[in-house]
Amino acid sequence: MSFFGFDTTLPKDRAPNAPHPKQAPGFSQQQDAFAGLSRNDNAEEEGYDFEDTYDGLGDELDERDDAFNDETFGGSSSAPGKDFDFFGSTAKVANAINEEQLLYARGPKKSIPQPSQQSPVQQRPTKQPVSYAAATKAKVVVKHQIPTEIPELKPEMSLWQTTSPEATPTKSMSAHAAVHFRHVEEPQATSQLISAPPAAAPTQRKYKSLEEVEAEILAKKQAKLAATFQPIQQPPPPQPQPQLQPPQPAQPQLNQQDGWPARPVQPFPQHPQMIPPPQHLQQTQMELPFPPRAMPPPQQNQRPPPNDRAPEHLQRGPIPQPPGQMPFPQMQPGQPFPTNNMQFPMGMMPPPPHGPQFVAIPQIGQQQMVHMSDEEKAKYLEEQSKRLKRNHKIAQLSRYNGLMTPQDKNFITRIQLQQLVSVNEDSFNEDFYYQVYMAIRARNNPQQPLNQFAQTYLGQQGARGGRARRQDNHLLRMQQQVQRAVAAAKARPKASQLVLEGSLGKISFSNVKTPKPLLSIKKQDSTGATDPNQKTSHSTFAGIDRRSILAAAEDIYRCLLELDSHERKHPGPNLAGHQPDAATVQWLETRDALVQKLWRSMRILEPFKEESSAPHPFIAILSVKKAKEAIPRVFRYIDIEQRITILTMITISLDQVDVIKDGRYPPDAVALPPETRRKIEGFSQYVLPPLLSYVAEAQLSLITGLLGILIDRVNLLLLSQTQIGLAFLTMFTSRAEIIKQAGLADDEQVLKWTQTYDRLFAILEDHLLDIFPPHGAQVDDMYVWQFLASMAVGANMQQQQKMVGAVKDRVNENVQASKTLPQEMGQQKLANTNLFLRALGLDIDLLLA
Amino acid sequence: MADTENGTSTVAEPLDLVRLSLDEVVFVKLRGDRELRGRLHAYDSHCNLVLGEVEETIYVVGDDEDDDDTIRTVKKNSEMLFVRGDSVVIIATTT
Repeated sequence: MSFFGFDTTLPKDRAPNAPHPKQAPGFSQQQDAFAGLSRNDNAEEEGYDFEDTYDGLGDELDERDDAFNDETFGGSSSAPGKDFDFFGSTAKVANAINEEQLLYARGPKKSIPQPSQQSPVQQRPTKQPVSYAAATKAKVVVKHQIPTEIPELKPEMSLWQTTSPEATPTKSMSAHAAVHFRHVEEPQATSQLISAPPAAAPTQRKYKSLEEVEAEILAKKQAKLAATFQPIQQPPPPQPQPQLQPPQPAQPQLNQQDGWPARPVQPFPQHPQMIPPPQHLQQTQMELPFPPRAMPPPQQNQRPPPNDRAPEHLQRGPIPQPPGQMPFPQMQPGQPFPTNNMQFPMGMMPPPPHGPQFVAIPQIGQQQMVHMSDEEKAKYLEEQSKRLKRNHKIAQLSRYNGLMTPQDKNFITRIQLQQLVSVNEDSFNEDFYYQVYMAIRARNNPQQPLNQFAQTYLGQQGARGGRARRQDNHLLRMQQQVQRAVAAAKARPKASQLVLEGSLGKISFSNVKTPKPLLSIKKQDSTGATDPNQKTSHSTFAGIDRRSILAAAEDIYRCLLELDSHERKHPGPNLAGHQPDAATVQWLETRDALVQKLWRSMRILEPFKEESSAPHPFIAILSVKKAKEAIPRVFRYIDIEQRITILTMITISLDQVDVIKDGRYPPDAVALPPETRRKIEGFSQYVLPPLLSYVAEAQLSLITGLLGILIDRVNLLLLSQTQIGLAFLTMFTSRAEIIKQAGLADDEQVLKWTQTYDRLFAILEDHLLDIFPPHGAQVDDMYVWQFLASMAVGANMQQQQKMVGAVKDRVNENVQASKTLPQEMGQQKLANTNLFLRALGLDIDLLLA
Repeated sequence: MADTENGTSTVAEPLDLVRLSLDEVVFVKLRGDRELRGRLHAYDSHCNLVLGEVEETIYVVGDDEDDDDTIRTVKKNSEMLFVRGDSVVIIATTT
């Protein structure tokens, strides 16, 4: 006999029809390789051949001592033992016990044992009628079970396998559903079962186990197991247990019932193997005849407890362990429990390893249960389920109570705090991009104060070093802590006063945040003075606050400059023609806005103050030289209506205008003061021309109206004695005369004008001499003659005669003066006088002649 | 320029007060005991000024002839004057 059972016969000794052909590929070729090496011939060419390559060493083996092989390796005659085949052996035994249990369980119900259970050595596949769950159960159990434990397992397997008639429909369902189904549907059936099983079970098992003849141990263990179940199968005494019954009392109670020492329960066994699926136990309990399937349904699916189950089985039979191992005092092993159809929420319910845990919940005896109406039952069950849930939750929560010492907790807290701090402080290390993003974003937010950003950025700089600069970070962090502390202290409102107890006064002190006020400056006055509305529309401005006037004039100029610069930005002529392009439109819009602004800056629309003698703001502004100079420029931008407004405004307030107010010659004064003269100059140079240019195109009705205003509201005598005043009158009358002569106005308007003119003349006719400057001979009085001429043109004969009579002396005076004056001035005087004379249809030459 | 309705809104800095006096007659006090009175035509941030129709007054303390500490004034008139800003002490409005 060869060591490995090879055929050791030499090729030459073999029969020609040896099982292994020489040329056949396979094992022999492997040998060839060795042979080739040893023989070193050209065997390659013909292919390797065992015969060729065999060196015959095998023949020289000493086989004398082969006889002792048996002693060395055990008897070769018998087939090798299969002790190691746990699967096979357990399967055999499992089948046997399955059968036994099936019969035991079915006995009272006269169910027919499944055929598969007849042969003890059957393998799983053959057990077709057995439910699928049972098959898997058997498989799993056999795989993992230790042989010694087999007997203990077997009965359960069988129990589980024996699907009672009621249970069969539930096969397809989930185990959980099955439980529910059965329980709800058949309280009667369960009650039937109550009586039978206890008696039948022991006898049948005994019988079967004998028949099995597996081992004495097996029988013994089964007996024990049976004892375990027997008491449970008995109808539970209707015991209204107190709620939340303390665990300890419960256990003894159970023990009394079954006469079984407190069954050890290990909820968290250290079983390394994956053990029977939950269905196993559940099914087992289902099959048990005891009426209320005492085991809580939750066990079926959610439970991790497969682990728990196995050890339970292992320990159940043989080793009664001392009680007290139960971590859950509420548990009562094997306690019958009527509400096994409780539905526990999926997954959340890791029911304690043993159903008995729920005993603490108040129970209603099975008998009572049976007598309940369906509603009551449902209600009761619901209540029970709630309690169960709560119970269970509490159990879950309290499972690890007290595991941590205060020190542990402190430690954890510290770690968490540290983490918090690091999130706040070291965040640039943790999520850099977010921080940078936030910094940038915050920067874009104009509301964010700059220093805050600087701080953020600095923090970034500080943290940028990363891990290499942890030390620095610590320093920085400390600084920031201090900073924060300081900020917090600042933020806290500090009492600025201290009241000592028993003292009569308060001690006020200052700090950085609230310095003690040494000066109390009231701002009301200044704000009142600077309030634009007050100033412009009320007395402040009206009081001719020079600075305000200057500022207003400056405003006008700002607007003008803005407008001018805007004019330079004109997009240019629109080549497209019809529709102005967007740029032009926008430019026009901006221009309009600017013009509007300019208009407002002139304050011309601000209301008059009735009783006040102060001039209108616009008139006040106009007193400034630069404001006068601005008028022509303003007129370039404003429209007709606005020009009318300005003209009207000036006309209404004409006696308020400085050039008229101050324009009257003081008595006995040869000339006006130079300042006034300059003003008059400026006015006539800058303000009058634009007005004149407008009036030159005005309608007669407007002229009539303006002159009416002058007559009604303005001191005409004062007006008539000033250069500007006369200029205005001249302006109106001459324009009216032009219109009249051109026939541009209808009779009604002309009539109105004539009436107005008559009023004017009536006022002035007695003061015609006063309109001349006091020492007219020496000064330029052309404006006076112009006025007289314009008046004369419009006057009727009577009026003309009056005028001539009034100014006749003056005319002669002028003629005389012209002779004494230098040639040029004399000629001018004569020309001026001649203006008037010509208006009357005369000529100076007549006088000279 | 923000609010033209507000007369004082134009005064945002000291020089804006000077601006208000543009084209007005101003009184300017200079170092070296000199005073100017004239129409302000232009100025800049250095207080360089351009004045028109200027009357300059120079105060001279006691002179060669008498040792008294009498003060003499010398007046000059200029049609147009450029004043360098570093000598300007005061710019004031007249009246």
